[in-house]
Amino acid sequence: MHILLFGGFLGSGKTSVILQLAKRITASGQETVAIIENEIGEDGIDDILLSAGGFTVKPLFGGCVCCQITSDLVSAVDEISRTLNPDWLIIEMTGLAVPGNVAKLIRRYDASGAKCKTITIVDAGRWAELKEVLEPLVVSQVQESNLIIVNKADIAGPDIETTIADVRTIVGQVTILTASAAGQLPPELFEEVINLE
Amino acid sequence: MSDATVFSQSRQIAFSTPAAMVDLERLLKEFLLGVGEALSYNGIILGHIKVMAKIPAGGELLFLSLTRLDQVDSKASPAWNRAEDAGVDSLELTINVLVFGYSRKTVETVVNTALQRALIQG
Ligand SMILES: Nc1nc2c(ncn2[C@@H]2O[C@H](COP(=O)(O)OP(=O)(O)OP(=O)(O)O)[C@@H](O)[C@H]2O)c(=O)[nH]1
Ligand SMILES: [Mg+2]
Repeated sequence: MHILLFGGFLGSGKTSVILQLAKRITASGQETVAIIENEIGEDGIDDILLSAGGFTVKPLFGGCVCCQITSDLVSAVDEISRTLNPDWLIIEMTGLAVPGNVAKLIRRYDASGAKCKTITIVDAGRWAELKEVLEPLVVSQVQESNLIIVNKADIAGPDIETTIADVRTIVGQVTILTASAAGQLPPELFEEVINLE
Repeated sequence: MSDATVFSQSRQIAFSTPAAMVDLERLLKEFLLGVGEALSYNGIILGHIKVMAKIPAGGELLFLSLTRLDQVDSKASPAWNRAEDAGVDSLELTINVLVFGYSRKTVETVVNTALQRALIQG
């Protein structure tokens, strides 16, 4: 089992990317996927959307405090590795979580020894405003991530170059891809996401 | 800026005269925009407004989402698109608003007002 941990601000496109990725991985019938959907609020919506796509989804509800949910998350990862043991476990964090911190906890406590890759989705259409108002959160979300996807390229306009340059100053050498999950994502993007080297 | 406001609610809507499927999607989008306009910052949402609409009779689903005022997205379950249009007399809504900069009280008022305008009076 390999773990792909998706993070990024509220509404950046995590579920949209995951839906396409899960379809892509399972399309050939060779590999299996399970999804953990960590949502804020009392009733989940994304877990139902992903289940409607035909995938096995384990919802985890919680407050917005990411530390509170981590013990539940570690148990859920453990349970899935012991029961379903899928080839890929995709985790959608809440839009308030800091993926780097969650990954650290999983790497420390997950007994399955699964490799865990963090992917942060950046909303290219809102980066400037989000950074202006919520800088500590959005900056920490891209920090210590293994891959950055700058999403919503279709609506970002020329400002996307500024966003990419800005994200680059935060992440250093980490790969940054641009994408538009509103349409069909390209095969190269999926290759990069599942590349665990 | 302080913590995000989390507003999450399930609502049953009963229509006095059955609503047509084509109108439903438009009314739901109006509802999301109504909420979004009152909670926006420079044309965007500092958060995410999500609604799942379910037709109780057949279980058809429509997922709606708003992160910016110039784009209301919706994604229908295959059943929603196939649904016979005999008119819908009730709707179950799951409303999730996560937003920075507005109190829970404000969000609640905004949701109620927008719901009233788009789906209850109309
Ligand atoms: N224009 C545009 N819209 C997109 C793109 N990707 C996603 N969206 C829209 O952005 C909104 C949020 O997408 P989601 O995939 O639900 O985002 P999320 O990160 O899972 O949201 P939360 O789980 O609530 O944090 C939806 O309305 C999508 O349709 C994109 O590439 N371009
Ligand atoms: Mg999501």
